[in-house]
Amino acid sequence: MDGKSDVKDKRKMQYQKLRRYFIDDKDCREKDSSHQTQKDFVNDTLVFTPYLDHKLHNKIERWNKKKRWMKDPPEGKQFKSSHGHQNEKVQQQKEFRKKLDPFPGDAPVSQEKIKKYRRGKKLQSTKTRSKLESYKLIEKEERQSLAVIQSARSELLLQEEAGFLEVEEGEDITELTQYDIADVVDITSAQKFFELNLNEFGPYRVNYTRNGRFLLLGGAAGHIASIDWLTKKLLCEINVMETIHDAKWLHQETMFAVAQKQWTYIYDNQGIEIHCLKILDSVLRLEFLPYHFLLASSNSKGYLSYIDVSVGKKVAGISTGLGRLDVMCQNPNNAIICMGHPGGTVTMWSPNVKEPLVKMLCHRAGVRAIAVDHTGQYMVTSSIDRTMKIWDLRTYKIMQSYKLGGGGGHLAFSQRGLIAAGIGNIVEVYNDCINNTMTVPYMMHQLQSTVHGLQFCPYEDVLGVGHGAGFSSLIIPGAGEANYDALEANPFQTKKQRQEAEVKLLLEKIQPEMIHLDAGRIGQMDVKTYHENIEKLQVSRPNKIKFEPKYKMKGKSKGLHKEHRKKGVVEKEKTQFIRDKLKQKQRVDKEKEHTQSQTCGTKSVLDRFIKSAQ
Amino acid sequence: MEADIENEEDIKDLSDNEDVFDEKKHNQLLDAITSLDGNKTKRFSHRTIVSKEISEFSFGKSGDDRRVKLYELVGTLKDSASHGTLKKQLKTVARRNKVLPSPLPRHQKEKIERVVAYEKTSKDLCIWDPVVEQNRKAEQLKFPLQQPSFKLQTTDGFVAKFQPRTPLELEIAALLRGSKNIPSKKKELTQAEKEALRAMNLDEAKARRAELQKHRALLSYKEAKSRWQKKIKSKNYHRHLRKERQKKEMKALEEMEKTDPDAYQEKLKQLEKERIEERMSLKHRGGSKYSQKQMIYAKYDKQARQSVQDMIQMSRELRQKTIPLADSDTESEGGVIMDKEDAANMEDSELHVVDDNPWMARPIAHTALYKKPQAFVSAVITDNVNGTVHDGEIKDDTLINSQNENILDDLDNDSNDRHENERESDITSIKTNIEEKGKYTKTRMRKGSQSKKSDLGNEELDIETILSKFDKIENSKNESSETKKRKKRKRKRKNKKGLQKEETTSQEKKKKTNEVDHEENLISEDLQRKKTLEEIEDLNYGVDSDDSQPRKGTEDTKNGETLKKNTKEVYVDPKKLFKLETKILQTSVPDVVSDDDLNDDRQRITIAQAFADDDVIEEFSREKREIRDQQKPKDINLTLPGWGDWGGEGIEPSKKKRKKFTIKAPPVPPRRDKNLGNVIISEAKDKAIASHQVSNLPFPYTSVEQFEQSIQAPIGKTWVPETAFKRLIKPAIVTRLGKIIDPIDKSQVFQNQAHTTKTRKPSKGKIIRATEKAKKSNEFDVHS
Repeated sequence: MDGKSDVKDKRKMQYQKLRRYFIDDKDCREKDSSHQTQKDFVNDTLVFTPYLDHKLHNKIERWNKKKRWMKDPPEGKQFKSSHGHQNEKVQQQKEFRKKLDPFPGDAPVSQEKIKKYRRGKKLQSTKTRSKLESYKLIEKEERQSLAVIQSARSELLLQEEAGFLEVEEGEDITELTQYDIADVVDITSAQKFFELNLNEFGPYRVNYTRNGRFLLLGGAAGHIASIDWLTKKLLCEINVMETIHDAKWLHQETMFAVAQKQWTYIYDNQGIEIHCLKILDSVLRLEFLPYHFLLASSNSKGYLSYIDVSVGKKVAGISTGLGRLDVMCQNPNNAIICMGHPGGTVTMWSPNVKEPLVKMLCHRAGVRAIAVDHTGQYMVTSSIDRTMKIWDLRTYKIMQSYKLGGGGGHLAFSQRGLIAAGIGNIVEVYNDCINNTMTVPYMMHQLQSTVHGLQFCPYEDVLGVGHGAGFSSLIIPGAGEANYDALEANPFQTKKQRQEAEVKLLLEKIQPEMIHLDAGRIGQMDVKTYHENIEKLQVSRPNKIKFEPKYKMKGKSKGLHKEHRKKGVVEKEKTQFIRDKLKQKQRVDKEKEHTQSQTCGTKSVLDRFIKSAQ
Repeated sequence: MEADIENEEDIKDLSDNEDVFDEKKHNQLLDAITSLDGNKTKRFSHRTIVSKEISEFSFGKSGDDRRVKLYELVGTLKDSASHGTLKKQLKTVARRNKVLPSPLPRHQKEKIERVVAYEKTSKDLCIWDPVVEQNRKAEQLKFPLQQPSFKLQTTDGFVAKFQPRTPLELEIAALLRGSKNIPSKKKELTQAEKEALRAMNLDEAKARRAELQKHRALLSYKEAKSRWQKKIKSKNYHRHLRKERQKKEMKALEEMEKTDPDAYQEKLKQLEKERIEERMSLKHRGGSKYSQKQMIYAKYDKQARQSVQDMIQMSRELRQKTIPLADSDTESEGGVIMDKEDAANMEDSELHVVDDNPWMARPIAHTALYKKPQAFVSAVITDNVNGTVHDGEIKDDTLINSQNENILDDLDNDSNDRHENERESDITSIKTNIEEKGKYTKTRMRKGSQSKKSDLGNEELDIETILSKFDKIENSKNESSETKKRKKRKRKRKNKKGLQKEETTSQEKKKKTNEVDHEENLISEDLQRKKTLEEIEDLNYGVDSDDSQPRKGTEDTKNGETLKKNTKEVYVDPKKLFKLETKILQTSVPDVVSDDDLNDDRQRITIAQAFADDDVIEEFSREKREIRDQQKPKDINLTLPGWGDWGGEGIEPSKKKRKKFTIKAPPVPPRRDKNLGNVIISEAKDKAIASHQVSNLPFPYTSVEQFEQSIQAPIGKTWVPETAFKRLIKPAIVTRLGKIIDPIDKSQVFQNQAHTTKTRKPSKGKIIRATEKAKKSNEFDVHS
């Protein structure tokens, strides 16, 4: 008896269990009208299903919400599990996993960083021409957002910090001399402060390569020297026995262009003359646009010309009619050339438009120097009236205006937004002077003679100053970008890397037609022609005719009769319209044929009477 | 009617057929009679062509769709006595009455067939839909789609898959499964071990467990060692190994002699037999092909010579008579003493034996096995290859290490001390430097202030000239009253804003001094006044800066505030640009080299004078106006003077007429530089870039914005990390060169699917079965 009852009990239990299971299951089903069981809810992660049905989307959303809710229910609402053991198991598994990896999954990335790398809005994927394509768009968006997250995450690798200058209380920051700094800093940094005494060949123009490794010095009296300035190794040194107005590196340290008295020459890194560009005569200033491989030069006769260095062709030549062009700089963001004029105006040029894109009146007197920062947001100008003004190039409005002691003859922007001004024989560096009004310069250095060339060395806290008595390399803490991108500009480039980079640069060369004031224009659609095309495509329809039949006696104005009359008129108009259209088309076709036959040269009998051109 | 009749008569005459005529006439008569009712009945039209055969159309009523019944045809047979069989047949036919429907026309039939076939095939093809969809949605398709897996099967994988089939296998499996000593990967201890542990007390268990772990580790080391030993290719090494083994065997033999004489005898016999066989064969005496070759090579090759020698040696050894050695004990003991002791130690440390656990079993038979691992452990500890390092040595090592560490620490400390000392000295030196510098700066400052004062004087001069200039400009250019009013309004608004802001800032900073209030009042006035005020401030500042440092900061902030406000102005008129105050940099300008011309006061004044006349601003605004007017489309005047009016010299067409006949130019979209007084932005279209822009909306996109969004994110390696880049440029289809792409294989595709469904389903099946069971049990319950 005992055994039997035992068996019975067991069965009962089993049954009850099962019943409970099913009841719960049913409840669950009723709750969200889905066929998934509760068990599945907890365990399964809902993989994204490709259906784009809106309803389904919502459903998935609801599921996920529910799942989340079940995993960590809000207080007071406890999720009662029908199978406790199952839940426990899951819990155990979780705990086990916890032990394995205290930080499961990828490291979180802050939203701010993601925002920084995100370009524009998210892709709209709901409205497409086909369902499959919208799925593909979603996938694309997913891939792009992954790229954004990866970029944000890889910011972790940018470990270098920018330098800065700090003085103790009561000490004036401007009093710090280069010698003081050189004494304090480490040996390698101290070596970055040096002076080259080159008294004979007059004031020097300065140019660094894009990676900041090589230095080009062009003395007004014809002395050219290219130096690996970090190791102080001389690459080449020549004297062209002519006046030199400007000297600029081309895309790499293998070539540089020199604007001499009459022509512009190109030399290689051994000082051998490769080209004499006779298209560029009496050039005063040179600018090289590295992504376009364009050498822009401004002339003493007011002629601005662009030469494509990769193919050696002249891309554009614009006679500005603005007189001697000896103040020039480029906007590194959009490759627009800015030029300063004696009328206090600054003009901006692209090779595609024959007139200045923008003409700004910046000063009341002649503009002496211009510089644009690498983001293309700010422009700094200085004038004969000893003012220095900072402009916002997005709005063309003034940001700051300063009066300098002697008036800045030369200006330079550093990668981190420092501004250097050559005032007579003094070089002043201003920090944080764009958004805030600065009263005291950041650093100051006095030279033996007047400044003639000024450039911050990229990726280094160094300012190169060319002057009458040679060249000075000054340490300016916090000037250069601390983290360099080796794919963009590698200061520690090997020969092989340089060669590869050259090929890559040429492959990624941007066409000069893409130069535009709005750098993002190329990513926009040509909306105007698009609309025109659409209009063309649309079939022309006859106008809607508003015709109200006249009232007629004798029952002829009954509803149906009236309608019939109306219809007849409208129909007639329509047919007429179509007939006209057809006629027009035929005429056009005939004309086409005619012209074709003429061009094809089918001979007619009367052709013999046509006088030959000879 | 009469005429008709006459006509008919004519016809009849022609045909000469009286019978027909009669019939016709009769019909006509009948018609006439029936039409008397007023009902028009349709009459079947007769064919009038004469023929021998009677037309079938004349039978029956035409309008009636009544079918011919069988009995109607065969009714006459009823009466006749003959045709018995025929009657019977007809009877059966009538009884069954199952007549097949007439077949459909061919085209209809074919149409139906086509429809059915289409439905069927589309149903068949429906199974491909998910496959096709999947393939179309796939991020990447690798052809051929069904690729063989080149995975190497691991032993574990094989074992997991292995299923015993033969009875032997089954038996073995049962044995293995039944054993509690099988270690599993997930659990640390086997079942047997667990049981053993349970049986022991805690300390013992712990100790035993440690032992076991050690033992297992040793085993694994041994395994590892034998694995790499197996791989050694050196012959020399193997020879040594072999000799060692032989030695061991000898030893074992000796032991066997004592313990188990019978086995010993047998072993001896075995050896003897081997010897005999060796003597018989020529294997090691140049008999084999290999050895013969080696002998030939031996003349020139050292290795070959060696191998020949080895062979000879081998044969000699093998042929030697085995003589049991009595004194081998003493020889061998020396080298192994340590090991034996160890073994003994280990044995001592062994715990009680638990029978069913082999790990627990006292390893009597495996003492030899224990010896080696011991050596291994030491080897592991000391990282010594020989593996025979004494404990003492280890201790020494550790000692040395610790000493080293101490020394290193000391060194570190020393260096630290030194560093600290250096730092201290540095600091002191720096301090002195600073002190010195302080003095220097003070002197410098004084100098600076002096120079500043002089500078300021100049500034005043400059300002005066500028002011006068502005006045001139304003006088010269008579602005319309409206614009002035507007400007005034604007100014007022700005002032209000400025006031509010000023108030808030003052609240924040809690500087409610009279001075500040005064300043606020002044600021709220118009631009020119403000300018002068700042000048005053600057003057003050210049004076104050010498004596009071803390005040400087506040002044600075004030300046900053006022200037910021200035920058916020919107400049419609280019003149306003120059009303903005230029900030004098309060730099402690060092003495500039005297030969620098620009610093000379006189020079400055002359420059200011030189540029006083050319009115840059006026010129610029004129230029802008010109450009604006030039680009504006002009009205077209179509008035004809003298038309419908008096004409001639001095007579102009009336205003009304002019207004009537001018075509107004369409309104121009506002210029981009409309609100920027000092800027002319070119409205010329840059057509060059259009050639590179997309001008038609590509396929899946529905709006311009959407398309632009799709191309806004960069793809190149320069902007995107490598991993993301790889993902972004992943090709949609990958094919292998020269590999034929077969059409998709139905059997394989659906085999996989079936497999997956099978694996998924069982849970449901289980549930169903369970419910059935439950039902049964329920029934059972009810019944009982």
